[in-house]
Amino acid sequence: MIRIEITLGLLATIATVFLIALYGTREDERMSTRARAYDVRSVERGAEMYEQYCASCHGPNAVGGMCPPLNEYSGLVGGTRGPGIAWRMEELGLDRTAAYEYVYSAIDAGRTVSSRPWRWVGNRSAGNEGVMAMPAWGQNNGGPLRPDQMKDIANFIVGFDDFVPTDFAEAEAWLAEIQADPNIEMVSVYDEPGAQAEPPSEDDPIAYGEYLFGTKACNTCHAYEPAGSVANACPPLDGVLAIAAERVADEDYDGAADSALAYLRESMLDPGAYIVPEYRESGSSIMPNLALTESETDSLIAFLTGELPEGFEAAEEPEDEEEATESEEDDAASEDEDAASEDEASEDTEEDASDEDEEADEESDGDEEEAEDEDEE
Amino acid sequence: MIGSQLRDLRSTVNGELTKLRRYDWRAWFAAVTDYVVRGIMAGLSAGELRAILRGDAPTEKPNPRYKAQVKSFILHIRPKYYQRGSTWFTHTWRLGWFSTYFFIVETITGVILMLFYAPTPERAYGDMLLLLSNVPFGEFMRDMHRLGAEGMVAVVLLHMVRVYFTGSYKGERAFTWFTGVILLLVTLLLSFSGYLLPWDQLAYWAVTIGTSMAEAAPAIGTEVNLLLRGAVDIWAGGLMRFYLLHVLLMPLLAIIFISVHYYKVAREHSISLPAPIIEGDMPAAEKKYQEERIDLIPNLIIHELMLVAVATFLMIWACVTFYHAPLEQHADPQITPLHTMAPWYFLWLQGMLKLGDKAWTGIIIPTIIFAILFVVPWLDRNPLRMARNRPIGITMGILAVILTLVLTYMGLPQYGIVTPPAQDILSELVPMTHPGPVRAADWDEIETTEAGEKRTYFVSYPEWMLEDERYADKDKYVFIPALGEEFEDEHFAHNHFLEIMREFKADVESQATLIPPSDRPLAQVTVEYSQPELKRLEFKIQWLEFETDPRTSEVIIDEEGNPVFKTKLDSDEIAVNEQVQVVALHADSEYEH
Amino acid sequence: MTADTAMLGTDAQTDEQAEMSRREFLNYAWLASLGILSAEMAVVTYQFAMPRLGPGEFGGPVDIGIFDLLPGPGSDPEPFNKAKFWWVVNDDGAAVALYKVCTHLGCIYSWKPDQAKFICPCHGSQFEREGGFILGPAPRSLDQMVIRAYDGAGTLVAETNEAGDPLQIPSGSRLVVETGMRIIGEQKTV
Repeated sequence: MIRIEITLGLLATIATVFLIALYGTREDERMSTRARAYDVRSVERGAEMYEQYCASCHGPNAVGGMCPPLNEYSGLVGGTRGPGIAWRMEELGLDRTAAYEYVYSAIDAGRTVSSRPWRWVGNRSAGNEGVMAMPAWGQNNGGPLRPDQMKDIANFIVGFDDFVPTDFAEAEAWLAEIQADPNIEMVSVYDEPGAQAEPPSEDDPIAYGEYLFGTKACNTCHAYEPAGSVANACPPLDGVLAIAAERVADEDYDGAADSALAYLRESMLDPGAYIVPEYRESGSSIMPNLALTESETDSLIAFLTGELPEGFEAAEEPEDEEEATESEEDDAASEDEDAASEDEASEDTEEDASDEDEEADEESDGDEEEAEDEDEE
Repeated sequence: MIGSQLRDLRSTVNGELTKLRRYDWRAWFAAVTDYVVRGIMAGLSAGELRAILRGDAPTEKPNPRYKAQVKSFILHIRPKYYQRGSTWFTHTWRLGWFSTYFFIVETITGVILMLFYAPTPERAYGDMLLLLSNVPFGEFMRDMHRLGAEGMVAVVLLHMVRVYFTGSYKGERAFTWFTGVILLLVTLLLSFSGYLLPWDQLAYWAVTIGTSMAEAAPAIGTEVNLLLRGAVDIWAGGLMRFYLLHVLLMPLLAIIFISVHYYKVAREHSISLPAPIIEGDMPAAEKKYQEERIDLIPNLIIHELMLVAVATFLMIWACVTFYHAPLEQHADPQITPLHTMAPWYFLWLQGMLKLGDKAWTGIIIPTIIFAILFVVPWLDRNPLRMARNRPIGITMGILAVILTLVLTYMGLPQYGIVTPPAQDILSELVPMTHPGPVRAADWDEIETTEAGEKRTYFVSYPEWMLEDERYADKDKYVFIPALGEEFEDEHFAHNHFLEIMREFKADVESQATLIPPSDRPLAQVTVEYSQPELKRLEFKIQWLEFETDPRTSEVIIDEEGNPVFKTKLDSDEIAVNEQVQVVALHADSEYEH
Repeated sequence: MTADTAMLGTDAQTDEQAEMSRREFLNYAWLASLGILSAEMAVVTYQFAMPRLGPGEFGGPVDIGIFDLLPGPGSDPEPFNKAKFWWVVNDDGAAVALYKVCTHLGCIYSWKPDQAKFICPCHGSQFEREGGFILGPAPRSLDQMVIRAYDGAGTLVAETNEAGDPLQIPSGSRLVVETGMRIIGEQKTV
């Protein structure tokens, strides 16, 4: 009996030795298959969470809509180029390998404002202006997602990898529905996503100024009707030239400007120089210094006041909302007409420009007429 | 003068060298070896060791094997011998031995696993994934640990049942029984505390439910709950406390009480002789034979080592082949998965909870049950141990076992919890808690159209759709035939995914409450590509319901004798209910069912 | 009757019931004091192990001061961020403490004064001033925390009931919001 037990023990032990060795030889393969499986399961979970949390804004299969497309495919959005993550990384001058971090931080902390509001306003449609353009999803920022969940979604997004979906019909139908929905109103001047594929050129200061008003995110703080912005955290900019004249003359003012336009310049280039009393205690932060170039400042002033910088011709107000490029053509065509109209015999052939935007209101028209006589800085 | 001194020196040296050469080095070496061996082996010489291995009688008097048990710390807790009758396999089933065996396996595998695990919510789940995918033998160790845990709870419970039915808790063994019930509690707590550590949905919710039961305890419930969880809800504090319970406090208590328990068995009252030997009508000679001693060294030890070898082989074989501990999704306090289940040894408790108020059925009655268990030896006044001499005891025991089994069954999620049928069907196809049949199916068999476009599988549909022109494209629209009918296209015949779809069809059509609409499919699945290796599956069930009387739950019939459909809240349109589930599947995700 | 009595000499008696010797007494006293020490250590350990839901922290009672000093009926809800609730007083002067976490997916919703309602930025769920569900993907109205009002002597004079009805609070009461006691909002009816 004892010998049977000894034999049994011996056999069991030897069998165990072999079993473990056999298992050991297969471990490398098992681990690499498993590691790969876990990586792709993260993508699966990310895809499912994407549908739940992100698809309502970024579209089915990340084709875009109210918010930028996140897949690689360009060409779906409104028939014009809709850049995906890789394109965006290039545009920003970032390394493609940083795409994961870029996406992760956007999910985690959200976006206060859209970086391309002339195309995508995100959450900030009419009636919903106080929210962030993209909500913050990370739990540390008040959202519902844990780090591992955000990691899954980011893995899904960066996994698109030049993939072109073959079935657009549903995505296009969905997009058409968004555009037809009367409840979704784009705040930006350009109603249709993809309406402007390229930023306007600096040769058209007012159009360029309008473009800057969006990209520099002025619209997120300052109300200005021509830009359709209703943000009220900071001084409103409608009729700003007249307001600037008052400010400069006010005895409370302690800045360095001596004219309305100079005041405007100072406000943009050195925001901390003077803060209007009503806004000192509001709790909102001082306007950031945006490091604007000369040309950018000029263009913004042109957009805000109608005052063109040196060397630029005025353009006639077009009948409808046209893009900057088209207005420039109008400019060239109507130059002769303008030359014959109200024209001060001053240094050069500057004219007042009225806004190309038909939403320009009477107040600003009035301002422009007043500003007509102002000296150019 | 120098010359003579040198000559003296030389002869001295020569003399010493000769002495060295003639010295019995062999004997010296043997003596040193013998000294060392005896020192390590508690007085057993090398020759004695050889005699043990050969099965010979002890080589010295007094018996050095018995002496070893007095001199050695490790051996002193072992018995010198057991009586033959006590070693019948069918008397003890070796359950006590295996209880200790499993504890040791758990300790070893547990300490090894500790290398890669940190008990914080930020790291715990990720550490589990790492263990399973990037640590050699990581999955193996974890599976061994889990299997050992299940084994330990099972064996400890069976051991208690065995001791009860052989009456081996009576008389001088009462105190040992008492420590045994403590060990049962310690084992259950060890298992329960370890359950939380993977920090997946199963762990999180099972422990949330368990600690919520503790919260139901009268008077001290809130405090006990806070002590266990370290906060109002389980999070970092709870995980840390459970971890410390699991790796420090409970093992410490286990070691202490195992020592006390086993010392009594080994050194005081030994394993009981089977009652038939003592109380039965066994002939005297047979009785004497059964009372003969079987020594620890070598017989008992060899038997025990054999048990260890065989059990270890079986455990390792199980973990290498079929046994794999589950890991669900990351713990999510916002989502309780369907079919949340307690670990099997707590199902009886969950069954009880379905019977009544959780303060009573969750805490008070279980406490009473354990109190009774503790005092069984003092409740049972019958000194006899044979089954036929203790009808009441045996009957009570059998009833208790049956009751536990019934309660365990009632604790299963299928019992007493009503899930809406559409949700239930989808949760079987693509469950939250495990992969399920669809994810485990061959990815290539879940097909889109030939060109890679979206394909719709109509799983259950009104007849007219088969003839409708809109769905004539056989590539884009596939109609699932009933079980028993063949697919038209040979290509689909051996597709396992489609088999699953047929079962889906059968499930959905057999539900009386899911009334198929006449204008759209009852159930369908669409498959399309999201990314080159990622498919998007959308499962949809759309159904109508009959209007029922809220008081009697009977279907309302109209004047013509037809049942009335439920309508939308603000109109007369018939309401179509919808249950949708979207699943993303990657080619390499390698799910097992 | 034993060795120690013999050693104590004249102090001891030799019958069965020996009077307690000094040594014996001292030993008992020492054992008793060890017992007390053990009990004390147990209490120390218990206090160590019990999580402290400090006043003001989430999970415990939060003292928000005298009722009359808080914003009154008709004013905007007052946020208490660390304790995660909004303080709302309705037109009848009754109060609710709304849990700041949206009942949908756990985002922190905001108060929109121009629209006089709570709107969640994540998915647009909207809730009335007193927490009732208006629209959106949230499954139910906002959850509430139990409010307890104490008079000057520290006696409990009012407490939010189980149904979560707005609480009428006597003037001058000191208010404590129990952030560990939550009343789940009413399921939305759709």
